[in-house]
Amino acid sequence: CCPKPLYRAEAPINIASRYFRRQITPRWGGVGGCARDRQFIYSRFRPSFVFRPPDQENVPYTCCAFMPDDLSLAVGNFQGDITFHSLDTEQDRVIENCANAPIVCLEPSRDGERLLTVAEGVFSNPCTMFNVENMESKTRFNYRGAYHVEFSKTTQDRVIGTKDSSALIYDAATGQIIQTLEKVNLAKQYTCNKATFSPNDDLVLSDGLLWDPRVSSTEPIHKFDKFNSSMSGIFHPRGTEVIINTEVWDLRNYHLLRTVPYIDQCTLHFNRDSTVMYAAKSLSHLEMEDIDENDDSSPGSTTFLAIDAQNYRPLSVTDTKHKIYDFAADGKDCNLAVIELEKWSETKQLNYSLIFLQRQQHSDDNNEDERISVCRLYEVGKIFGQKLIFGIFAVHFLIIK
Amino acid sequence: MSSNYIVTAHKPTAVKQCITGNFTSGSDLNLLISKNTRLELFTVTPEGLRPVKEINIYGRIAVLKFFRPEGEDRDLLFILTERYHGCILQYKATDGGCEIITKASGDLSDTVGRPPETGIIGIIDPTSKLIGLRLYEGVFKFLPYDPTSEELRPFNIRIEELSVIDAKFLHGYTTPTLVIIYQNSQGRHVKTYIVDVRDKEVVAGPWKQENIDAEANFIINVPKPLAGSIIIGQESITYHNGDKYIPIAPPQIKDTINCYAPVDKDGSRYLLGDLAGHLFILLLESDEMMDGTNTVRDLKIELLGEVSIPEAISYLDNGVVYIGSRLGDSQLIRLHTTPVEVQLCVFVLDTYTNLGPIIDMCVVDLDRQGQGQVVTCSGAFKEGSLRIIRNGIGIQEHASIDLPGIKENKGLWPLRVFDTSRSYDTLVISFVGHSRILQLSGEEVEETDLPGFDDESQTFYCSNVCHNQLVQITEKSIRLISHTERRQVHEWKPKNDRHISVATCNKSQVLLAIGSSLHYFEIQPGEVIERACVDLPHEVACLTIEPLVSDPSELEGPDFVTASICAVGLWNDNTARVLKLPTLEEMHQQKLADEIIPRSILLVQFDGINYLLVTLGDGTLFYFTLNPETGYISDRKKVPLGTQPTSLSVFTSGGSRTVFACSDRPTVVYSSNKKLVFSNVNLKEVSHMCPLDSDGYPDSLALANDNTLLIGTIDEIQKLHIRTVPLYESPRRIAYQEESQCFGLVTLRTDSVDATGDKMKITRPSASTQASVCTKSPPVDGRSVEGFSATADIGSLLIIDQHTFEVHHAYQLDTNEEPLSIMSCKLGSDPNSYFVVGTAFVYMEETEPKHGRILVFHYIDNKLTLVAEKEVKGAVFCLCQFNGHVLAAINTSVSIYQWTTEKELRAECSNQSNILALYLKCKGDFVLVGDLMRSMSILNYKHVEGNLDEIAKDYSPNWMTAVEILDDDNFLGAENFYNVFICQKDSGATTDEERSKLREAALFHVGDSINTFRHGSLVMQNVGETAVSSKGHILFGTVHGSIGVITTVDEDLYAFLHSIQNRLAKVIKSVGNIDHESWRSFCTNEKTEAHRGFVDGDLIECFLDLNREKMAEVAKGLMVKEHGTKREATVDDLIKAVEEMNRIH
Repeated sequence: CCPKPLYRAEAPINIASRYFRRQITPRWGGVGGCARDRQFIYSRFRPSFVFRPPDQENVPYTCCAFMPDDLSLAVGNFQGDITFHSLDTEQDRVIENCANAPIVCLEPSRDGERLLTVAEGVFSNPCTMFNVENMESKTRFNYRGAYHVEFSKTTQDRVIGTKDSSALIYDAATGQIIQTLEKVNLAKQYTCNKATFSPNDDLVLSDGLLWDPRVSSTEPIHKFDKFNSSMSGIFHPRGTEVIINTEVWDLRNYHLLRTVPYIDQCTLHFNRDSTVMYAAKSLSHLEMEDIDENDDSSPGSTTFLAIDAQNYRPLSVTDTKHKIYDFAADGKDCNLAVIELEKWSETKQLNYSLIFLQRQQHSDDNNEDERISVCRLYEVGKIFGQKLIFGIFAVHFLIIK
Repeated sequence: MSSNYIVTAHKPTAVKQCITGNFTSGSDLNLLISKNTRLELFTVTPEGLRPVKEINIYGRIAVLKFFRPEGEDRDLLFILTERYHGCILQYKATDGGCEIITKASGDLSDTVGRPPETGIIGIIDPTSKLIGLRLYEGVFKFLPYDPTSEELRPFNIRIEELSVIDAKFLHGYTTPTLVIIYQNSQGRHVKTYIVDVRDKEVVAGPWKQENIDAEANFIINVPKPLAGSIIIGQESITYHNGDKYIPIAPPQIKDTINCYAPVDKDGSRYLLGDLAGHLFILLLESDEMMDGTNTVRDLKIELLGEVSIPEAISYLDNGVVYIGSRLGDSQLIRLHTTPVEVQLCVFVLDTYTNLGPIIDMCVVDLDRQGQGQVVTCSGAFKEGSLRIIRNGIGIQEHASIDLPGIKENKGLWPLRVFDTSRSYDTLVISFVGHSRILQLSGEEVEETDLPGFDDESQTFYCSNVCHNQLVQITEKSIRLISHTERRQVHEWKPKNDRHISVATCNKSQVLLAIGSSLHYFEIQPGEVIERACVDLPHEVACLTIEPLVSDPSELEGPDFVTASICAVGLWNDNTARVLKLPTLEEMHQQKLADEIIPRSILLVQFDGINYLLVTLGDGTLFYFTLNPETGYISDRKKVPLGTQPTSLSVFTSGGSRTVFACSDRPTVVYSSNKKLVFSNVNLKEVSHMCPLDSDGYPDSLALANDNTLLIGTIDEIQKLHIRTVPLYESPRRIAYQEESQCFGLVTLRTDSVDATGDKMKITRPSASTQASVCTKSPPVDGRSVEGFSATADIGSLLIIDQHTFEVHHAYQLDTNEEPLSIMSCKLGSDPNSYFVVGTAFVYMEETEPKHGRILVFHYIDNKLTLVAEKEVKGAVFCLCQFNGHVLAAINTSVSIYQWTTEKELRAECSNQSNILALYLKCKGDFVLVGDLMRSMSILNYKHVEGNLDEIAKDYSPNWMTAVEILDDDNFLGAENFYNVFICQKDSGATTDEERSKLREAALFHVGDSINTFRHGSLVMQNVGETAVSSKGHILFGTVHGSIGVITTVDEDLYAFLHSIQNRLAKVIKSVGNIDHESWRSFCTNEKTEAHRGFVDGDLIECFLDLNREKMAEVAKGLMVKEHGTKREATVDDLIKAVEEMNRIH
């Protein structure tokens, strides 16, 4: 009998060698070639286009999400307005007063028809589902009681909400609560617990507890050891791992697989095929208000990381030089959108003449030190510092601003 | 909407796996070879490998195992595809053939889980009760064999080790026991597990060993009585059975051992192959213990010799070994017990051509016949070669005799005159009004006389016949000439001085026609006796009395076969008629065509099937299958061969009957897999041909054309003719330059570095070291490599003659400089043709090259000059001639360089919108760019502004492996998950945004990684043929050595073919029950989309192999459009359509 195909020879580091190797040994030119390609691509992020709030109002942006068709970017702001910035046409769509508080989370459904929003009020977090088609008419469900909501993963027919340490499962169509997962008498809960479904919707992770909703609403099937007090964790989209802050747990035997210190307190997003994980310490707007004006140098708060989602090795650190509110990755691995807190004065230094011109017109009536949050796109895989191409984004920019 | 046809012209040849077993019966030893999606089944016989069956699998084969469950008398086959479709197959002999039965099948994929990078592992427990699979990290899937179930019902067991390198089931345990090599942060370790099938869990096994060879990469499970396991590492080989641990570190092993084959059933000897092509034998020396058991005492390893770089080895029998190679030709070798020469125990019995991996290729018309030839860069390392692939058959010319007037010759026959041994010694050439006789003595040819021969008349037929006689048929008479008496012994003349119009004969029978009356004679000693005579309604145009035999030797010797039927073709009514002998009673008649008369007719048996072949005056060939009992002919098929009247001659090649069709496009007709194949011959025109087997020209053919008589041998018959030019180093890119009649080839070889210093030593003589002239680039980049490396890669540009394939010149690049691209072009207004080479300085530790060069060479009068060089900031991945400029893909940028009057390259403009621009193609002012990961984009060059702007792109993340421009709006791409797709540019869109997006118009899964696309065709563009409504032929070359064709067909034909395809998918049951639809769906890691825009030609062309009933089943209800109206399609419509598609490759 024959041995299995062997991949002893590791893929070369140099991409030119790998390029020829993969002509002989597909698919990636050897063991680890895939990871090396990821390292190559996801260590380059080129800042490209910037979406700014309309200047008259100067309401800062708070969160963003790419729509599933990747043709537009939904951005929420401090006043509860949502703007759909089209990535390639001039037709932006602004829907005002979607919430009465700053919007902190946007999640469109995969079909692009529905949009979940979470706003962060002083006393409550209004969680709402909109129909994207007619958001203007304010048809919506409100998920009362929950302070965070997200869709189930596979079929998106359910919505899971979080209320303190309990997880509420809603029917997405009616907004009715189907199930409540709650274990009473637990000592201490995570401060920002966010209940979430596993990728195949069989399991729920909430407050460090793993639930099988089909089995029991009161007895979780496992409790993960608590190593931090805030982040309640997410499932790896590949389905076999749970990431709770810096700890990666094997879902199949609940063993601690590894500790990834550099993602401490980071919000995580995955790329298209879940091979790369983006991490950034995104700040809530409440925290943002407390930031010391001159504390831009506080470590880690201005950078986003790309991490190999298979071995958790860091691929790159990109310093935006600005505090990050929120970020989102698109579904085609083209762009990363980052809501950054930018100083007025900085924009002038940008070697981006269009922005510069546009800024000039308005800078007179603004304090030079005042901050404004903008949404900047980073092109994945493109080299920083080269001449920007005035493509469609720039054209768009001229027209709308 | 895009409508295309994709088909394999040359099947994959790279061997991935080979296994032996008793599959066809308990007593047969079978060799099963997997070549990507194909399996080839052979039986091992004393004469060699006998092909049994080719099996096409709808999937890339990942696991291939024979196993024999209890109670079975022969082996079953387990197959798993890379998309996790598993099946258990069984061989079944049927009447006149065989069939592969799917005993059980199923989808074995999980919804979650991460596919391991080290690949799929599939193993079968020694008792054949349990199949073990590692499909995802950290999980083993076990599949208990259940003979009653048609479904595969596996269960998963988690194991702690995520990175399993290899696994095997151990012999000698009552419960299935698994041994694995796994890797963790500390290194590699070996561990055993006991599988509890009932409780579906694993428990720790009897032994484990930590920290073994850091690159231990596979395990051999040793059968009883020795049992235990052998762990093969990079530097060491270890035997381990729990109690005993015997490591050896043999100095002979320098390269990675990547495959093995057990020699003996008792597991005491193993063949090992390494990546340098060394073949070793590993011997387990054992002691017999007091209690009768055997234990291993020591391991011995011996180098046997060098073979093709193996991918898989199978020990067959009697010292014969099959070496399956992925990078070079596979081999059948015999091992000698005593070395024939020093270090040489390997004797090559046979080699099997492999084109894979096709790294690059170019299409050229070297013979200027209007037919493309493909020259590929094939193989790698020591197996690197150029392969010249041509459709058709080559005639190797041995002699050509100028004979004025031969253009008017009317026939050509070989005779045995001067001695009566087997070989021919005389050629008879017939002209209008006279005949000439040529005597062949050795290689000499001279004109001679033959007593009793009438050379004052045109000869209609001439042959050696029975009873040591010769027959010559002229328009006047049949003349019988005795060999022994050397004179005419008998003459038969037609009555009333009528003239014979056509005649033929075989060993003992003569058939001739006088106008419309047909006469049949038998040859007796000293006389020809007329046995029958009939009057036919019209004059006879052509006739045949060729006996139908399967074995050509039956025509010779004392017990030769006589014909029991004959056939004629008639004037006026243009019919072919089959007549019974000796009565000349008509058995069947068939109308051929309305206007054109038959010119030549032939009865012949190929592969046990009887055929009647008729050619018409316009070069068309009809062929029918013939029932010799009833004379009934059926299954009419039509092939246009040429444009002139075509005559048919039959000869024997390679032990089988072959037909030569002489015309303006000479063609050889033969049978392959019971299907007639028509192959072009590399000659322009042949008027007559006869076989010639003389002492001076054994197994040759005599061919008359224009003014010469050619004597040559015919190549081994195959549809694609492949010639190999070994390079012994890795070829990378090739370009053809018509002006200098040369190929420019860039290669890479690996030299060894002297341990004492930086002195380089040539490891192996190769194309670049053995060129007529070798020159070297002066050092450019003075950087020394950090750290010591035992080898160094040397890049070269080779100038290779297009006729002889000799290397005229080798230009060696700088140290660490690797060639990445080459093109031949004219630049600016400069009349010279240049070879332009793109290079990169490649340092191991850098993630991407930081600089490279564009070198412009001029080759003229056997001299290679470096005319210009330009340093660039990156690797020149691709070069393209662009409006007289050089277009180069350099890392992220696509740049245009102008050729100045000072013969220098000057940067004109560039576009930076790529991650890594790897592939370029251009047309007019448009450039198609293939990116590492960002699919394809279109750039437009604006002359006035001097800008290169991106005007459209595909936003899907596709990892490209090749791109090609189909036309102004359609762009073809191949990507890393073995798919092809076509993107359309919407030039008519109203908005810029719509125009800037490429739309996916066609998707298809090829199942092989495509390395190169080229415009061109392997077949001659036929003149008389009913035009297939297709345009644009693209050839592609793959890693597994297959060559494919993509062509665009019109929408009606597409719709028709598409409906045939859908019906065929239902009628032809796939082996392993894999759905055709899902196999061809565009599939990457994270998305699967239904295929569209391509018709699967491989499936379509299976139609021709179906029997008539199945064909009718497919045809039923299909509509065909004819002259604007729709009607129901007949089987013949389908055959015609499919055969026309078949003819594009």
